[in-house]
Amino acid sequence: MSLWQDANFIWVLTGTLLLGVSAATIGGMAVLRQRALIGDVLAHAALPGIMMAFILFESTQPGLVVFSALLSSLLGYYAIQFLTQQTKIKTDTAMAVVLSLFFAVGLMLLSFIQNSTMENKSGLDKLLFGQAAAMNANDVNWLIVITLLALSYLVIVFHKLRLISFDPTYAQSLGLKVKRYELSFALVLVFTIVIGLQIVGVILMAAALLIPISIARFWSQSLPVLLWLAALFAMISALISTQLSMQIANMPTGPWMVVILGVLFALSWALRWALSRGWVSTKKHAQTAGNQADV
Amino acid sequence: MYEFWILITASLVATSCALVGSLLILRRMALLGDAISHSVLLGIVLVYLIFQQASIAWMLSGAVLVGLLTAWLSQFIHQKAPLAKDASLGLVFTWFFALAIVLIALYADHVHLDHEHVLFGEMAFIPFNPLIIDGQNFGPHAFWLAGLVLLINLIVLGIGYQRFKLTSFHPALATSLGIQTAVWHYLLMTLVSVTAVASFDVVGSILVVALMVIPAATAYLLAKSLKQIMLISVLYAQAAVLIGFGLAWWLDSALSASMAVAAGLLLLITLVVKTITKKN
Repeated sequence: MSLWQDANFIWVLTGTLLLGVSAATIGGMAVLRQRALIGDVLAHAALPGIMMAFILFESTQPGLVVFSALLSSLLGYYAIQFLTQQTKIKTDTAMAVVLSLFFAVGLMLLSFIQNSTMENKSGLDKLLFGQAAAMNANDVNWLIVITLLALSYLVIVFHKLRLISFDPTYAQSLGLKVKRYELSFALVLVFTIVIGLQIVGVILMAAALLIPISIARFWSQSLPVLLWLAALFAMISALISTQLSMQIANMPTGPWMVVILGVLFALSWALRWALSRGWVSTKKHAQTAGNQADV
Repeated sequence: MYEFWILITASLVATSCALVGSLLILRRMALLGDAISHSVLLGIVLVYLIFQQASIAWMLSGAVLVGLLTAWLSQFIHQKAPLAKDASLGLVFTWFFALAIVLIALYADHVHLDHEHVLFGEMAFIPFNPLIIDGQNFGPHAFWLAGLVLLINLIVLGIGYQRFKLTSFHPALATSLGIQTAVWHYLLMTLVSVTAVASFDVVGSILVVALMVIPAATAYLLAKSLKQIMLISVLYAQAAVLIGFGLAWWLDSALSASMAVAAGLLLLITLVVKTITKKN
């Protein structure tokens, strides 16, 4: 196929695959820890940082984008903690307030930039819905570095993270620094989100984080297998959506990726359901497998 | 006249948002409001595609259907599949939203929407899209939609006030008294969807939630009863509209985003003032 000889296509495909895998695994951990929507909030909260950095330095260098997004996402993270701990505002309200307020600040700064005479401002609005097709070798190199960092973090601390996530009291009694791990996990999550901004965009980032693991939940109950499966499903959707967006003009890659993930979810559910019906007489546990999967 | 129509429409929308938002945060459903305000976009796009037009009635019914579907489907997935509540909610609304964006890209020629409209709304263009009946100009289209939705909200909330209050604060008591809590839940979801669609032209599909949640959360810090929350949040919403209008004029930024930011500033000021007065 001629697409495979296109250098641009290879870069974009590499980028979406890398993002898919790291978002699926890191996001998967977050979902299993009952924090499915924190990624959504952090992704929205990254926007004002990036816009502010652009206003100050007039540049969209990957390093600057990553750093500024990191700062403003962490600010959002602490804002949620402050609102829930220091006022009587409940968690869900605090998340919605931080998400919408940070996003609004980001959009306000974006519209301010667009109406101004600053240069190099063309790529900024792509952060909202992502534009994988515009990626070049330099962007992909950054993606490779961050993805490797995120994945090796996950591999190194996997056992401790698992302990902290599912048995925090026991972890504490072993003398593990739970708070430190919580913060480092949040940092890696934000890093992953920042990579995702260029590909799926701020608004749909949550989907890349939480749908792959949700599909995997139909097929396994063991944590390592779940994470591998999530990575696999993310790669499938990355492959299909990159093909689609390169072959049809003006097709956004990120939204297609999410639509395909949703279809995979529905297919998995239907298949699982059919299997449990068919095997109900021979294998009793197959029917209840889905319900017991609460890790 | 130009500024007048913008301000009055934004103020009607903000009032609806504040009323609905007060109930949402009391029921700990702020994120459901966020989800519905995203997925309503799919309803709007589908109505555009199927009927090739956007009359007020079709827009409202399309949005209500998709909004209710979001609430119902996320509940259904949570109950039947091994997924937590927030995960199933995130799955449903991101999928609906992504589908809407894909449809907009696929049928760009038939849908008079673009990314900008979805994000910012088109508040500055409100006065240029008048409702004309028999050649007579009755003022902007968006104004009438916002007014109609506020009327619906006021009527439903007025009639069902006691029921909404009971099912929000004491769901168990309400059930034991024979009140169908599910009916009131979905009625509220209907109001959220209707409000989201009326707000779409004004603030875009994503900032609606800012107007729903931020004034209500600020009022929640001060108020002592449901009536007070609703009243104070409406006042905060009006202040946010006015201050936001000023901000946008001063910085040459988008009207909708500036109004949401103004609501946030008011929350910040309220928090600071509250902390200071508490210490004294």
